[in-house]
Amino acid sequence: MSKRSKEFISPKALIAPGPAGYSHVAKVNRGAIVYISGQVPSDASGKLIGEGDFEAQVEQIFANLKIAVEAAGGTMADIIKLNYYLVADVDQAIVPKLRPIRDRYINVENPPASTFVVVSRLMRPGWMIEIEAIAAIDA
Amino acid sequence: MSNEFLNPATLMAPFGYSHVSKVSKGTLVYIAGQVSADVSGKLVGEGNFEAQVEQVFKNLKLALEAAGASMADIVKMNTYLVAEVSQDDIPKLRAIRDRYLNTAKPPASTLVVVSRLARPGWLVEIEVVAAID
Repeated sequence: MSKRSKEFISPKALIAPGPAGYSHVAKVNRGAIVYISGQVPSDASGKLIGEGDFEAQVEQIFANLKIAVEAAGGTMADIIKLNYYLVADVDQAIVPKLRPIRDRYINVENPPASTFVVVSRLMRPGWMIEIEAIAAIDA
Repeated sequence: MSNEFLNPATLMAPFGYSHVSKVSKGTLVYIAGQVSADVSGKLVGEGNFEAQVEQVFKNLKLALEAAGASMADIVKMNTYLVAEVSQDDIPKLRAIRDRYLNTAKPPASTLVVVSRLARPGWLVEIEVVAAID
């Protein structure tokens, strides 16, 4: 059991993910797997946070992901996978503003494997982005 | 069943899903995105959203049962709707979903709307992860 419970790997033969803040591979050797529903910029009452404000929405989503992973007994550093769904009408130029917010929440030394796609729309108008996560927590 | 389904009070109240599902032991089962096709590959319910959702859930059930799992073992569900599906039709999806899922312990879920799927005519695709003891 000396092997770490999870490993983050970025093979040199793949594009360097360094500045983008993700790992190409996350390997789970043991522990509990936690699935977190796509989080949206809503507070506990369901109210939209940050209407038209991309950074405020991203901040709320990461705050929600933190609440969700902690409810399962984990931390943000336990997240092994993030999937981002950006709405098509969001200006591509503001997307990099996501990174510094993300990097305050995730473990930047061992960032999760990640996928980022653009979708036509989300469940409710006004949501600019949705992020779902998978975590692996030591038993 | 050892899967846990959690809803922190500090997150918005979910409609028919759980914010968090936790699998502490057992076997994980990944099911490919299911579409509204019958065993011959024929599109079921052309232009009929509800008929397609029904067929998709039937297919998910068949797939899970092939792995020794049931609908109640689903821990994660990802739903992909095509953009031409009206927002007003989404409640119809929920009604069908709730006949198939364990509504007391529904899976963690994500729903997004995409430009299109692999074949024209498919209005919805749903993939799931299940965990069985």
